[in-house]
Amino acid sequence: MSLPFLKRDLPVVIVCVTGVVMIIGYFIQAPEIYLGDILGNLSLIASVIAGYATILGILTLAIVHVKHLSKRTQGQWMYSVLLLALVLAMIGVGLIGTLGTHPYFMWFYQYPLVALDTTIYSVLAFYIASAAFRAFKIKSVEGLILAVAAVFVMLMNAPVGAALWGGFPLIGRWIMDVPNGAAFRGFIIGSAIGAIAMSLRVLIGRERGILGRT
Amino acid sequence: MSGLISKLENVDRRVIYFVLIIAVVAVLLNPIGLPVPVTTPTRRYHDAIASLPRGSLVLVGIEFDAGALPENGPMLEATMRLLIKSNQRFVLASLWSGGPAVARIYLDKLKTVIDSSGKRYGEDFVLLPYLVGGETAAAALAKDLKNTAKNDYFGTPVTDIPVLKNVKDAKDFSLAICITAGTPGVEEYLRQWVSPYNMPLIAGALGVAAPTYIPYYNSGQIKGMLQGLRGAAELELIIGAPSSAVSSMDALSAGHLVTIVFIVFGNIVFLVKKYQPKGK
Amino acid sequence: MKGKVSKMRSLAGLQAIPESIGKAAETNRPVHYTPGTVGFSGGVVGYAAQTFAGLSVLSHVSKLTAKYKVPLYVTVAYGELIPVVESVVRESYASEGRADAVSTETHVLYFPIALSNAPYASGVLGLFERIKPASNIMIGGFYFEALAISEQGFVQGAIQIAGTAMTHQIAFFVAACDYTLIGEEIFVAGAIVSQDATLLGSITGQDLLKIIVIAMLVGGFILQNLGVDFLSIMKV
Repeated sequence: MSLPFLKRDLPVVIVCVTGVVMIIGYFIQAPEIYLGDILGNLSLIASVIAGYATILGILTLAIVHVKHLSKRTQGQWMYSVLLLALVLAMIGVGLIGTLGTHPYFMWFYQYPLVALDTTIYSVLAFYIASAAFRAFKIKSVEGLILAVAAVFVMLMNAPVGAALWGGFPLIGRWIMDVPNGAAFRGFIIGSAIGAIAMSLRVLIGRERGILGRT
Repeated sequence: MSGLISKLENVDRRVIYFVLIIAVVAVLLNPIGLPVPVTTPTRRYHDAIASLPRGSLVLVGIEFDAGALPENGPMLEATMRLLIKSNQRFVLASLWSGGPAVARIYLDKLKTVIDSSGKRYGEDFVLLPYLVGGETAAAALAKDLKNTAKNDYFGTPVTDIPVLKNVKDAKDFSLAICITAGTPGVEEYLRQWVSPYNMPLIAGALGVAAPTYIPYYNSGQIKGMLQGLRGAAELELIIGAPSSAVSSMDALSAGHLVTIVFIVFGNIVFLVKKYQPKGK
Repeated sequence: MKGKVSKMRSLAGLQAIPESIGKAAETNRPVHYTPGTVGFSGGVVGYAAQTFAGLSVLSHVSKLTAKYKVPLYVTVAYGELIPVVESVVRESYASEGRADAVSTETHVLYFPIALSNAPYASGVLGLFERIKPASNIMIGGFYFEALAISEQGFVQGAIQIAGTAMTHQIAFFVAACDYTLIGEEIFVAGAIVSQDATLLGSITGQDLLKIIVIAMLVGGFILQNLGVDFLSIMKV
C-alpha cells in the first residue's frame, strides 16, 4: 500500500464502511440479525477512541505549558507552574482508590471547581443585563417586537410577572409555544439537513477538513 | 440637555451591574415570598414519574456539570426526591465527565432521605461512571448497558448489582429523564433512546436552552419539561419539598425586573434623544 | 444543474470582515479569531460542521490579516485544532507571500476546555484585556462563553462579527455583536470564502432538500386536516 493511499484513501474507506454500517443498523428493525455484534462493538470502539481524545487534550495542555515553563515566557510561566501543579494534584487524588471516588477528589471538585465554574457562569447574568440595555433599542418595528417579546417572556419566567398581571404568563407562553416554537422547528430542520449534508460529504470523502486539510 | 441624554444613553455598565447586585442580594436577604404558579410542562414532568407503577426502572441522565449546578442541581435533587417518594428504582448515568461527581454531591445531600425511605444503593439505585463518547455512548448504553458500563462508579461489576440484574438494554427501562445543560443532552436521548425504542422521555433544561426544546415538547417527543430554575422550583413545590430553587425565585424576579427596567429606561432615553428638537 | 454553482446571497457579516480588519490596521490593534469551542469530536457530527465552517472563514480572515499586516490572535479550545489552525494560517500567509510573518504576527493560543468552557471563556476575557482587539470574529459552535466574549469585545471597542448554529447562543450574539451569521449562514460563509465547488453544491442540495421538507410539511398539514393520517404514513 502506498503512502498516499494510507494517508488519504484508507481513512475515507474506514469512515465510509463504518458510517454505512451504523446507518443501516439505526434504520432497520432487528439489526442484530444481519450485523450481529458489529454495531455494539463499533459503538464501544468509538467510546474508547473518544476517551483517548481526552488524554490527548491533557497531553497537549501539558506540552503547551511545559514549553512556557522552559522558555520562562514573561507574565505566563508562573501561571503555567500553577496550572501543571493543579492538574497533577487533581489526577493524583483521582487515581487514589477507585478512580475519582476518593473524598479528596470530591473535595477538589465540590469546593474550588464548582465555585470557579459557577462564578464564570454567573457573570453571564450581568453581561446579559448590559447587552439587553444596549440591544433592545426600538429602532425599527422588528426591534419593537423583539423588545416586547423579551419583556413578556421574562415576566412569564419570573414569578413577579404572574403577580403583576395574569396576562404576562399567558402571552409569554403563547410567544414560546407559537412564534418561538415555529422558528426553532425551522431552525432544527435546517440544521439537521446541514448535518446530513456534511455527514454525506464525510462518508464519501469530500469533506477536506476531516483529515486536517482545508 | 443633550449632554445628559448622551450620558444616560451610554450609562456605564458597572452601574447596571451594581443595581443588579443590590436588587438580587436585597431579596435574598429579605425574601418576599411571591407565589410560584405551577405550569403544565412541570406538572406533566411530575406526573410522568408519579404515574409509573411502583418499582419501575428509570434512567436519570445527569448531563451537566459544575457550571450549571445552581440551575440544574435543584432539578436533579427534586427529581431524585420524587423518584424515592414514588418508590421507583433508578439508574444515574452521565455523558458528561463531571456528571458522576454531581450525582455524588446530591446522593450525599439526600442521604437522610434515602436512608429513611429504606432505599439501598445497588438494590434500588445505582450510579454509573462517566460514559465517554457523547451520542455514541448514549447509543451504546441503550443497546447494551452491561457492556457499555462494565462497572458502576465505585468499581463494582454491574453483574453483581441487583438493580441491574435483569437489565439488558433500553427496553428494560420505563422512563428516561435527561437533566441537561447542553450537549450531549436532550437531542442525543431523543435520537438514541426515544426514536429507536419509543422510550418516554422527560427533560430538565436550562432556562436559556428550554426554548430550543419547546418543539419537541409540543410534538409529544418530550412528555414533560422543567424549564430553568423556575421549573425546578415548581417541582419542589409540587412534591412538598421547597429547597434552593424556591428560595431563589424572588432573586430571579428581582433580576428580571432590573433588566426590564433598564430596557425600558434605555428606550425612553433613546426616544427622547430621537424626538428632541434640534439645537437642544 | 450539472457543472453550475448556484449564486449565494450576500451576507452582511461576511462583507464586514474586510472593514473590521481595516479598522484594526488603522488603529494598530490586533484581530481576534476563534473557530468555536466544539472541536471535531464530542460525538455530534453537526457541531463538527460548524468548526469546519469556522476554519474556512479563518482561511479568509488570515489572508486579509496577512495582506494588511495586522496581528492575528487565534484562540482554540481543543488540542486537536492546534495543528489544523496553524496549518490554515501558514497556508494563508504563504499565499499572500508573507510566510515569514507567521511566527511574528500570528499567535495560536490554546485555552483548554476541561469540565466546562469556563477556562476558555476566562482565558479569552483575560486576553482581550491585554491585547485590546479592534476586531473580534467568532465563527463556529459556542456555548455560554459566547456572550461573555462578545460583551468583553464590546467593552474593548471591537467590531464584532459572530456566527453560530448553536440554537442557545444565537440570541446572545444577536444582542451583543455588530454582525451575526445565523445558523446555516456560517456554512454558506464557509463555502463562499473557500469557493469549494463541493461545498457550494451541497449548500444548493440542502436548499433543495428544504424545499422537499416544506412541501411535505404543507402537504402533510393539508392531508391531516382532510382526515388522511399522514403521520402514520411517515412513521417507519
